Order: sequence, then C-alpha cells, then structure tokens
Amino acid sequence: MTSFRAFTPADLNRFAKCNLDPLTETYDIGFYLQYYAKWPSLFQVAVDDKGNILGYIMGKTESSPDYFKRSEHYLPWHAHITALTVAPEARRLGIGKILTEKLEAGAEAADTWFIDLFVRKSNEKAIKFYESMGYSVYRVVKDYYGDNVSDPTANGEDAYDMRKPTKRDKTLKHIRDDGRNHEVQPEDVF
Amino acid sequence: MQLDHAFHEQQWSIAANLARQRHKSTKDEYYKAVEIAARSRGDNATERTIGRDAVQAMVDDNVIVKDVDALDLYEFAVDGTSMDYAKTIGVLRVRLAKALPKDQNIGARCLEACMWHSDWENAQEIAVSLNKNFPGDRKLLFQNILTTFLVATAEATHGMKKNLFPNLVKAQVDRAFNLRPPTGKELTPPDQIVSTENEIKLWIQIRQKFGSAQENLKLLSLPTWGPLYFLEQGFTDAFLLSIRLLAFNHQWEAVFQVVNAVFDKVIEAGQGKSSTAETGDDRDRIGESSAHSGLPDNSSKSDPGIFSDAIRDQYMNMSREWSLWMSAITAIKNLPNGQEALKMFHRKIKTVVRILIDNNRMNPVFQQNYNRLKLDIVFTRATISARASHSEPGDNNKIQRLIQLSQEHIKDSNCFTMLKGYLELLNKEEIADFAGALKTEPAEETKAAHLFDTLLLVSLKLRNSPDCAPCLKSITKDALHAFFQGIQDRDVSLRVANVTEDPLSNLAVLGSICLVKLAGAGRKDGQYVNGSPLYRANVHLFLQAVVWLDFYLKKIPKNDALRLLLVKLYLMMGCVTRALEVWNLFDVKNTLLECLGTVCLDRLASISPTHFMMGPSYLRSFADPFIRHFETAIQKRYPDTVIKTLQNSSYAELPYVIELAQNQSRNTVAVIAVIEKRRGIRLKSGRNETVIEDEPLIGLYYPLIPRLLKKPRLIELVLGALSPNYELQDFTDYNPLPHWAGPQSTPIQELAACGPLPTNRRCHLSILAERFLDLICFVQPKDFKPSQITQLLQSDWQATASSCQLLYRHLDLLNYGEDSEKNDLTGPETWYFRVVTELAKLVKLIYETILPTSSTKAAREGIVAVIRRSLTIIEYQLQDSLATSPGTPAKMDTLHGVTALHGIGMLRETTLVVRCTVQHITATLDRLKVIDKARGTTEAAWLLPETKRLSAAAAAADWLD
Repeated sequence: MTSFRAFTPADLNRFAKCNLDPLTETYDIGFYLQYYAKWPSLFQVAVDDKGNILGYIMGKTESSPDYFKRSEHYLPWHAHITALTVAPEARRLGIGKILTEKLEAGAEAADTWFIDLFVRKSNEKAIKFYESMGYSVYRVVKDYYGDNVSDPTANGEDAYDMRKPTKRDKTLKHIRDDGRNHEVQPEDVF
Repeated sequence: MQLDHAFHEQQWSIAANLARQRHKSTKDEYYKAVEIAARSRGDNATERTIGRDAVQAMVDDNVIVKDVDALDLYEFAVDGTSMDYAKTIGVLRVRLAKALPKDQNIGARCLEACMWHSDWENAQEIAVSLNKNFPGDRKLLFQNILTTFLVATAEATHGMKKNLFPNLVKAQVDRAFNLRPPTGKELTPPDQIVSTENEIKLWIQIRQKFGSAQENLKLLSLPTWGPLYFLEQGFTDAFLLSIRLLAFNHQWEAVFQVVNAVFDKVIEAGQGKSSTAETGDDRDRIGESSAHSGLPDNSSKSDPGIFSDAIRDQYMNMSREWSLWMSAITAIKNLPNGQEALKMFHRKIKTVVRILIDNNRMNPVFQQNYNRLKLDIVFTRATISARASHSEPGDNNKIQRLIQLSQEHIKDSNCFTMLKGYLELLNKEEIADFAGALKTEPAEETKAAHLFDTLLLVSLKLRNSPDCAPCLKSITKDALHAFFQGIQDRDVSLRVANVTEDPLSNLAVLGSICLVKLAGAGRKDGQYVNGSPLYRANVHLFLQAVVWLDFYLKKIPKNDALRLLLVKLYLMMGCVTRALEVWNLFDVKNTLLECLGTVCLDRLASISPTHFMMGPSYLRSFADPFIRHFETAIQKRYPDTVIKTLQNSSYAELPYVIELAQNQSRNTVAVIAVIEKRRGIRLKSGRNETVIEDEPLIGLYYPLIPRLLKKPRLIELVLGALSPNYELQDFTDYNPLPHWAGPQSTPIQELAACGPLPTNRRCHLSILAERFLDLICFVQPKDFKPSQITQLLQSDWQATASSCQLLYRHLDLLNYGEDSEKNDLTGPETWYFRVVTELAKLVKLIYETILPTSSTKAAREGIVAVIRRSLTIIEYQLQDSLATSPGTPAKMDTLHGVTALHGIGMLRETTLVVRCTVQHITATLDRLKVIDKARGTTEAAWLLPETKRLSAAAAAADWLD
C-alpha cells in the first residue's frame, strides 16, 4: 500500500529505496532541511506500510530578485519543482502524478502564477509525463547541464524549462506555444 | 577601514591594538568588544580566555550590553570555549532585548541567536518581550507560543516552568484561535486572526502533547474548527493530523464519524439524490454514534453555493487516501458495534471508489490500495467475528481474497512483501490451504509468469519453514531449478531484464539466503569465537551463495537487495576490495551515508585497516565522509534550519528538526565512523595519531548540541560527557536488504554480518577504550616547562587517577553489568574490552596506591592479581585467534585465515593497548624517581618485572599478527 503525506526529517533515514537509484541525486542534508523549513507544504512523500519512502517531490516558491525586474527573463511569483523521484519498485502506479498534484495544490494556495521545472532534453519519458499533466516547454536553456547523457563527448546538454499555469494566470500570459523555439543562456535563468 | 581590514584578515594583534586606540579616543564600547574578540583569537595562549572572563564578569555584574553588534563580537570571542550559552551570552541577549523593547530588529536578532544555540529558555523570554511590545504582530505571538512549547517539552526544563508551561502554552495557543473565552488581556485582537495551516498544525501538536482527550474532542467539535473545517480550507495535513490526534486520544467514534462524513460528501457530490437516499439510513446510525462521540458535523452543508468545486475536490482527493481508510479500520476494530460499522464502511467505500473511477481519480496506486483494503476488510471481519465468538457464514474468505490479491499483483516486485503481513496472521492450516490453492490456480501462459508463481511459492516455503537442513535444501533446490530454467530460456531472460526486481534475481537471493543458512554462517554456537563469522561454517556452501549472486549481478546489476547482500557476504569472507567494488556501484554519499553506512563501515577497520589510511593517492579515509556528514549536519545545518523554520513561520516543523538533530547526536554510525577511523589508522601505523577531542564525537554527546558544541579541554569533563547513560541508537535503514524470511528466522542484516549489529553498549565500550588509550598515551608538549614540577606531577596524578576511576567504573559496568548478557559483541571484541577494563583498573590502582605513598603488601597483591587476570584474558584471546574449525579441509585454511581478519585485528588492538599501558606505567615510575628516587626505585623493583610479563604476552600475540 502507499499513502501520501507531508515530509518529515525522519524520512531521510528511510529514503534509500528511492535514492539508491542512480538517477536520483542524493544531496547534503542541509538541502532537504532547507526545503522543509521554508516550504513544508511543497515537500510531499509517498510511503509504504513499513515507513519506506517510495517517492518524494520537493519544491519552492520564489520570484526573481527585484534588480532583475526590467529583464525580459524576470520570473514573477511562481512555484518550482526541484526534485521528483519514485523508487523503481513503485513506478508506473501514478505516484509521480499524485505527488505533482499535491505540489500544484500548494502552488495554488500560495497564489503563484505558474509552476515550472527543468528537465533534460533527452529525458523523453519525463517530458511526456509533464506534458500529460499540462506542462509545456516555455524555453530551451542551452547547455544547462554540465554533462550529456546521450553524448559523453558533448560539452553539456540543453534543458527544457517547462511550465504549467495556475488559476491565477487566467489569460495564460506566462506560457507560450512555441517554447521550443525560444533559446536562452544559463546565465539568463534565475 | 584599517581596523576592519585587519579584523577580517585575522591579523588579531594589529586589530586588537587599533581597536584599543579607537576605544580610547571614542569611548565607544563597541571597540572594546572588538579588542576583546581580537585578543581572544590571537596567538597568545594566555589571552584566549579573555572573552570568557569578560562575558562572565558582565553576567555577574548585571551589565547590559546595549550594542547588538558588540554582543555579537562577545559571542564570537567566547566561541570555542566551554561556556554554557544559556547562562552567559543567552542572559546578555535577554537583558539587551528587554532593555530596548521597542527595537524589533534587535529583539529578533537576539531571539535568533538564542535559537541558533538551542537556548530555548532565553529565547522564550525574548519572544515574550517582543510579543508584549508588538501585540498586533501574529508572527511574534506564534514565536512566543512556539518557544514556550519548546521550553515545556525540553528534557532540561525543571521546576516551575515544567509545571506551568504546559498549561500556559495550551491557553496561549487556544486563545490565538479564539477557542477560549477572551480574558480581556489578549495580545492579538480577534479581528487579526487569520489562521495558517502551520499555526493549526502547531495547535494540534500542543494539544497532542498536553491536552486531555475530552478537552481535545470538545475543541475539535467547535463550529468553524475541527477536521472537516480544516479539510475544506485546503489544509490536508492539518486534517490528517487532527484525525491522528483523535486516534491518539482513542476517540474511535469520532474518527469513524469523520471518515463517514468525508465519504458522504463524495457520494453526495458524485451520485446526487439517489445515493444520498442510499446513505440516509447510515447517516441516522452515525447520528446515534455522534451523540456519544460529541463531534458534530462542522463541514459546510450541502448547499451548492458553499459546496464549491474546490471543496468537492478536497473531499474527493481525501476519500482515496490510504491513511484515512486505515484510520477507519482501526476505529472499527475498537468500536463496540464494529461488525455493523464495518458493513457500513464497506458499502460506502465501494460507492466512493465507483465515483472516483467515474471522475478519473482512481490512479493505479489507489486501485492497488483498494485491493489491499478489501483484504483488510476481510481480515478485520474475521478478527471482529472471533472476538464476538461467532462466525457468520461467508465471513472468513481470507484465503480466497489472498489468492485473488496475489494473482492481481503477482508481477509486482513487492508482491510477497505485500502478502507477508497477512500471511503472518494465518495459522499453519490456512497457510497450507493458501499454498495448495496457489499451486492449482491456472497459471498464465507465459513462462515468465510461471516464474513469478514459483518465486511466490518458494518465498512462502521459506517464510513458513523452520531453518532445518532438509527444508532449506528443498527450498534451495526449488529456487535453483526455477532459476536455471529461467536463465536458460532466452525469452524469459529477455523479458525479466526489463523488470526492476525480476523473479530470477529474487530467486538467486532466496536461494543464496538458504545456502548461507545451510552453511551454518548464522549459527550462534561458536560463531564469533575467533571473530570469523564463518567459523565452523561450511565454506563450500557459503561460496556457492556468493558465486550465484555474483553471477547474476554481472548479468543484470539492477536488484539493490541482491547487491547489498553480496556486499555483506564479501565482507564476511574478508574480500573487502570486491565488497567495496559492489558497494561503490550505489554511489552512497551525503545523506544516504547516515541511513546505510553501517552496512559497509561496521568493523571494517579490523578487517581492512588500509581503507583508513591517507596518503598522496588517498586524500581521505573511508570514514571521513561519514564524519564530515555528521559534523556538518549537527554543527551547521541543524542550527541553520532552526533559524529558517523560525523566519518562515514553519512552527510545526521545528520540533521535528530538533528531534532529527537529537537522533543524529545518538546515531551509532557517527560513533562507529570515529572509532573505525582511529582503529584503522593505528592498526596500520602501530600508534595513535589522532586525539579524540579533534573529532566531532565529543560534541555529539551533549543532548542539545550547539549550546556546548565546542569541546571542553578537561578530561574529567569529557569523561563525564561520555556517560553510558546517554543512549546511542542504531538508525540504520535495513529495509533495502532482502526480507524474505519468516518472523522466527534471523533477519538478513544479522545473518550476513561480521558480528552482532551496533548497540549502545558496544559503542560506549569502544568510546571508553579510545578514551583510555588517549589517557595513557598523553605526552606533555616538549615546550611545556613548569617551574613547580612536584606540585604539578601530583595534580596530574590526581587527575589521571580520577579519570581512570571513572573509566574503570563505566567499563566494568558495561562489561559485566546487566547488558552483558546481550551477546552483542564478537569474541575478540569481548576479550579486547575486558583487557582494557583490567588495564584501566591496573592504572587506577597504581595511581591510587603507589604514587601518593609507599605501597602496602595488600596493594601490591591487588595490582599483581589484576596483571594476572589481564594475562589470562590475553591468553584466551590468543588461543581463540589460533583456533581452526574442526573438520576444515586443509585447502580451505587460507580462506579461513582471511575470514578471521577481524579477530586478528582486535588482537592487534589488545597488544597495542597493553604496550601503551606498560610504557605509561614505566614512564610514571620514572617520574616518581624524579621527585623521590628511593621510593621510585623500590616500587619499580617489584612492579616492572610484573609489567614485563604483560609486554611479553603482547609480543607473543604480535608474533602471531
């Protein structure tokens, strides 16, 4: 069985099933605690009946600093998905979708304009997953990732900056249909 | 500018001089603080305590430092000294905040400083002052409530505060939500009450800690409050926590009623009139129960205007949560009319699920949960029936439901794990029925599906069989047969390669576990005699298990449980390099080190000290990432997070952050990392190279860490801090290891290990042994040239005697006290700690009975007896190390030698501690000769021949090494 609830720090001792997966990054403990302290409602977990963490999502709310306000790349108040992972044994059950919906509910409650995330251009499965949840590519960030999964000889890999508007964005002014044609440099991204 | 530059460049003497001049010309106290801070950081050892002395004087003289920057500097000046923050800087912080009550910025800085140091009591005083002076600020009100709660719950709180604060904080938090009649003295006007979810979660925490069941129920039943109100506000965490509070208070009727109300709302929203009519009877019955529970329906009524889409979504989403369903099942089991309640629940959940499916809200994960729930309902019905001593027809279809569930989830990697909990509730006949039914169920057509069936049957057999040789052999054969059929079939191999935990890898794991058991590696009798987990084991069988796993790992390296098991098996047989190769595939780092570290780190130094050496090609030892993780987590991340929770109004999160830090401070992995590193380095180099004060260990032993973070220098204080009363705990996550065995079998983490798992006793014994080594290896710095040698020597002897006395007392208690029956040490560890205990006693007796005055006959006899006992223990340890298992084939001797590395490693530890003790005694007698030549010569004449026996025994053991 799987239940969903907010993250607590004790979960860090039970998240091995997720984080032993080579594609899931394990950060310094301060990284997780920072999200917990600042945005507790955007840090949600899926748990089995033994208390093992089967999946988690971490997110934050923010906007670009004021000095960025005149920039075309200025980001208004929004939510950002920092990490979403599901343990290999618990995949294909829709856990990622539920966790994302929970974060989106938190983003709505915080009255943000949109939810965004970065994903490797080569990660087609993830891109399809987010598209099925209403996200679309807003822009391409050139060489955002230092390494390239598909081509080790390349300098880096592009990221898609994907977005989903919230209810606040009634005119859909924060998304675009032709996002794949808009390229920006990593330094343009806050 | 010049002063600023000098200070930031850490040119302390220049900064101190410039600050003194500025203070002289401006009379500004700030520059006085700069001067003290700079001098306390300078090279002059005599000035290092200047900050501490200045702060203590200000505390004693009731001085108020009114410049917050100056106070920061004083805090900087005393950082690293052994001052109690709460009694020094914390006091000055409170004085400052109260002296400038209208300066919110200064108050906030002082509050944060106290919070950073876990000084809750002074933080609370500052928070009260801020709240009082800015009554309209709800954030300050909640900081006051939060700090009061922290003081009320802190172990260190005593006296009046312990008695009064629980009631005070309840009253404060109730009033913050207008849940109590106003007193007229409220600091926050009612019109400013706009609750956030976090405030509500704090209210629930306080109520759970200090509220009575009736009081809590009454408050949760108030209009515009309670679970359903929280849910409708979108506060789902608060909703779940409020149900947990009701369950915690055993308010089962209320819990059941809330779940029913959620289901009713969904049915109402999803089905319209007909379904409402259907549930009408139910509602009448709930009404009866609510009369007892006293929990009225405080949700919005079914007015279409109120029952908005958002609220409907909240109910729909909540109605599919497993935790809500389980709350209902638990409540039903505790209700007097459980049978009837279960029927009602069952009927409603079926309707709810239909609605959820119609509304596309029933994701596979919820469907899977629902399948489990149906089984839970069957088992609950059986339990209630049994309790009522009557069984209704059709009541007990547990086996049928189990078969159905197993068929539905046969391909899920966790299918057996899922069934295991239910199987444990069945009796033997029922299990036999289940296995029989499983065999006769029509298998799916593919061979891969057949493999899953076999896997389930084999798992079931293992779970339900005793660890007898015929059973294990039979299971191994079944597993091996199925494994080879699968591996030889190209189609099956290709298909399972795409499954995360494929049946073939699980069959390999299952079969290997049986082989390890058959090999006798898990046998308790003599398992740890010479430190080899394979002593008396059938190495052939053990190696077959390793080969099987390694073969499959090379084929499909996906199964984490298989890889972890293989790491453990390689460590058991002393193949550390291969074990670490497999381990490194996981890339265990950062936070994962904390939960998985024990799997690989424990006892590694005794087996392979090389991994703890540093050199040009090894910039860090195997233990360093662990040490750095805990050091950073406790000293930096924890206080930083405390401040962030405060700044972001995450009130309900703070207690969990504190709990995490406390658990980290008692985590056995932190201790093991420090011990393994020290042992590893000295096993390789033959001497102690690090002093324990340089590790984070000492800091770890204070319950609330940052307050006394910096290490005290006096050895007595350190020994006091390392009290065995401070309970250490193994927080390792063993769940990623295979879990196929039944409840009576030895768990795999114990079976596949180089010795018993970490315990409080073993860790404390290790710490005390390290402390003893530090004590006897301590050498005065060469440039230390005291003028009054005699007086100083006597003080030194007194200090050493008292340290040794304390050490011996603790070692003796842990070695021979009530915990000694726990069988949590390997044989070599037992001998080693006993030798250390005897040696601590020996040194203690020498300091107590020889050095102050001429020794008596009785004293000499006592000392000789301790030496003899030590010799006997060393002899035993040596014999065990030399022992070979009876019946070991000659060609297996080499492997047995490798598997006995732990025993040899601990023997080296013993010889080292013996050698150091003898050297220490000899050096002490030499010093005695300096102040009293005749007495020193007399004492040496009888004692040194005895200590030479110890040296000889150590040399003999060294020869073996």
